[in-house]
Amino acid sequence: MTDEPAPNEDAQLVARTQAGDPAAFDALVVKYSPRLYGLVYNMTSNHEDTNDLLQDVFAKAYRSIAGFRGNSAFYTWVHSIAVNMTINFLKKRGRRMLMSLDDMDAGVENDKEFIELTSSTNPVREADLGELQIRLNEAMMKLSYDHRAVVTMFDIQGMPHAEIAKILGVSEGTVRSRLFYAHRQLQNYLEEFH
Amino acid sequence: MPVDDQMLSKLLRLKRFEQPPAGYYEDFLREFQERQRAELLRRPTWRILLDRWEAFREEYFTVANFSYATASAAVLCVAAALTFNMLEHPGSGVRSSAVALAANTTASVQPSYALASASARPPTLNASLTPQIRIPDAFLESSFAPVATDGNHPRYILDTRPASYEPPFSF
Repeated sequence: MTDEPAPNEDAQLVARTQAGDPAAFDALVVKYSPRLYGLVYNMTSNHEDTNDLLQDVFAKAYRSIAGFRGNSAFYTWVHSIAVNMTINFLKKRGRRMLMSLDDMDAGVENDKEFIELTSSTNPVREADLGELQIRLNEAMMKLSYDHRAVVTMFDIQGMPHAEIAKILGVSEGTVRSRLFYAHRQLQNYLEEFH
Repeated sequence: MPVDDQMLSKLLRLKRFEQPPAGYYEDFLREFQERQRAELLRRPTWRILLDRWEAFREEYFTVANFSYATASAAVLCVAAALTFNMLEHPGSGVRSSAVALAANTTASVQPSYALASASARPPTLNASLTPQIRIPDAFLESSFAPVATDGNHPRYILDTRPASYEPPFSF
């Protein structure tokens, strides 16, 4: 489901950045900003915070790239930075939940799963979908930061367990157990809505 | 109605469609570049000067990494060569002369003593080695002691024996 990043292309861009070519890092920003936006946004549920955090993530990545030795893919490395900075931000923000949700892209109407959910045979109607989105985000905010991160990366962004484990620095078993627990929590909360 | 795993997964995947407004990512890159420029300008003056010096040095004084070791080795070789040269070719300095003299204590010497009173100042030894050496008066006056010989010719010998017992000179 995820787009496999081209490691050779990233390695070349990183090498050029380390050699002092700012345009190379701009190319990395363009390439990874959509994916990292999704990661940070779904953990914060706030568009403005996401924008600020994403600027900080790339700024830190740029400052640290001289020490990047290529032991992992750039993709994994920058995602680790994003997850850690987002979790630190959320810890500082505390339990204040300031949701500022992005609108659903118009392309959702062509999504197979959206069509299934809003079909006449499904109790979930399109009119309820907007409210369901809000409820789902509220439920996500009730998860711990670690559980929210795995749900975001696996369920929303479609990353494999192995990749998530590398980003978080944990075992695949830990990723699976966190996912199982998080799904139970979300289901319990959404059942109250229905 | 219970939300099963399948429905939950579908609902979560729909969140991929929550996107920022059109043109957001282009604005994001421009904002990032402006921020980078602002950070560069905010850097302390000493840091800016240091970066400029390093850039200048890299541009005009490019030295390969191994050149420093090569230069150091060359200096050591030159120093060693000079040292050996001084040892093999004395006369190029006082120290080499002293070493050479110490190694040639039994070298043939052509003294020119004149039989004179003890108060006379002893002549300078004209050694075959250069430079000429003048023996201090105190040394000679305390060391020279005329010794009677079987002949009519007194023989002056030094109390302090040289390395060789053969008299360095004879009359």
